Amino acid sequence: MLPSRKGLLTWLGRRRWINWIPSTTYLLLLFYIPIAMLMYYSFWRYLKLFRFEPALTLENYLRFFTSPIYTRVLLNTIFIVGVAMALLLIVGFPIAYFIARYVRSSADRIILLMLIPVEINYLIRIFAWRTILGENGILNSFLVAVGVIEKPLPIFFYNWFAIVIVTMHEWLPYVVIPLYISLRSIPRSLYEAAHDLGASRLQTFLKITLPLCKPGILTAIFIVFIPALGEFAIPALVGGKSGYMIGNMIENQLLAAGNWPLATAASVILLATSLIIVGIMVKILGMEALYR
Amino acid sequence: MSLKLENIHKFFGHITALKNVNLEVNKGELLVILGTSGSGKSTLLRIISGLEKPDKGRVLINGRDVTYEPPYNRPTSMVFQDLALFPHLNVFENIAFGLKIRKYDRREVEIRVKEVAEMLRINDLLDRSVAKISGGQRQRVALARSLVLHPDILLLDEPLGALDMKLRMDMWVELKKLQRQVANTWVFVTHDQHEAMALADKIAVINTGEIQQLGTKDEVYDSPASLFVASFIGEMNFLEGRVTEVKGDVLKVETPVGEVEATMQRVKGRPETGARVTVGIRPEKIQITKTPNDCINTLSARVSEINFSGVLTTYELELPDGSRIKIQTTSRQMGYRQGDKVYISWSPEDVNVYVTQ
Repeated sequence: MLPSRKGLLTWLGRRRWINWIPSTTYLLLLFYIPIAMLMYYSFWRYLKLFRFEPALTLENYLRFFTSPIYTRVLLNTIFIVGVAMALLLIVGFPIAYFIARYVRSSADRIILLMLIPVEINYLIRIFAWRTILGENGILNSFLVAVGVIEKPLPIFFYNWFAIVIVTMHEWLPYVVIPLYISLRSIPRSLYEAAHDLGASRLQTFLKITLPLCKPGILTAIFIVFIPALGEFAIPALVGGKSGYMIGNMIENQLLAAGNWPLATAASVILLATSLIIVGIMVKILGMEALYR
Repeated sequence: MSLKLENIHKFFGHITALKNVNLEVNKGELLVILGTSGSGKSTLLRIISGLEKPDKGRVLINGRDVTYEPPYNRPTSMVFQDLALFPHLNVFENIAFGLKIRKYDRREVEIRVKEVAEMLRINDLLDRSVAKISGGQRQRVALARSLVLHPDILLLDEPLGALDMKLRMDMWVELKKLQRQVANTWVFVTHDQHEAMALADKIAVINTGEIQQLGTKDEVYDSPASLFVASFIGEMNFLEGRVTEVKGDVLKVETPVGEVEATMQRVKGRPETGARVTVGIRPEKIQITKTPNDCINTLSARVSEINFSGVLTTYELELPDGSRIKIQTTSRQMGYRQGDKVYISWSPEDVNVYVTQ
């Protein structure tokens, strides 16, 4: 006999653990198992091009850390993304502050406008920068036209700073939005109270605005820092020699050099690096201070 | 003179928020600014604190013109309506905020914070988060944060709004004590007339941006300067009428229910014979009797409602023309029942007369 609908619902209701099945299965199949496989591969032994055998060796990790090139690439990556992140916060903060304090009523529309460029294809956006920063780009033409330089210089493109600029363009809305939300939730009376208690504008900013913005800053770092660390398309397209990042190295080992064990070991190291950096940020910014 | 406002005007676009406000408060006095929401009372407080600049007029504190001084250059401190405690700082750090900005050394900060915390009985909360203390305690922290700076003038913008009635009444007693103890000038804004009566040395009643009356509690209650004040503070019975006679110290008014006599000192304005006026009598100033007495101002009425609420008994009476009048008394056993015919009377000294154009 088939159970009635109601009977089935009570049966399900008593077995709460059933609710966990879909989400857990999803995460397990698409997230935890692939990561476990990735980690597992990183202990295999490389034989020759696209040939490796199962093993439990640390030689890939050793090779990564003993090679002066790979560690330098990793540090270079952290440096480039760090600079981009810092500049993003510096540029994003005034924008978010302005929207939160002065355009409250039409803030949603402004945020929407900021999001429109994000809808444009990612590769096209990267290429678009070539028309600005490239040798025949707008910047060079402008500088030649006003007579600052005599002929176009190839210095604005194909270097690490081009990565910083393109990365900033890529992620700016994702920095502004969490900062805006943080700032919006600070009642006006807090600023007024600080002024009333004797704080100047700068003191109010340092002692009230900035500390209360920590969740927004931390969220922006979470959203931007981790994916940007693993970026390979931007450095490949605009980075040049000084902009070689760990994402390029992994891609290269995976597709060209055919050394999957080394590529996966580098991925695991990148993952660990991301976690460490995020951990340090949480420690510095003291997320828990807001929820004690 | 601790605080003096001269001809303060404030406009928001086309709206006049404050119109020609003049105010004087002596040192050590507690002034309550009483008004409905939108009356301009908070704007007035913000002008005193410096958070808002007046469009016209001057603000003087201890004789010094501070009209265009920013809030951090004034010897005032404000307790905000939402308290505005800093959520990322604990109780101690909140109270110490102003002292630290003024670069007091750590020992001095600690001594002064402890002192004020003890006075407000929050000394064992100092290391707690402001999010994890009760509403009443948050109140005290906000007060402490301002009082620790020893401001010449403490400004309070409806700080008790979030508390329940019982707690508020306790706070009234405590605030009053505290104000006497610290002996500085307080300006307290509220829309609650009971709060005003409980706290004030002086009351300023404000309506649509204008001060209607500035006076002691007794002045404002016994002799309200305008119809608005009369209806806003306490309860008042109103009768419409026309002046029939002005003679020496006595004014006679013909109302639909009979003649009412008033003494001139309670008459606002200079009504002439024939002028339309409104007569106001407080419910507790009316006597109620079974038989008519010889007094002037005696009317007949019928008991329509009796309501005993603890200390007071309120009678609602119907007058011959169908209008109603309220009477309050503290005596409980008067032996009247619904429907009884009674006589009411009052003294001419208790009658307020307002000219209604």
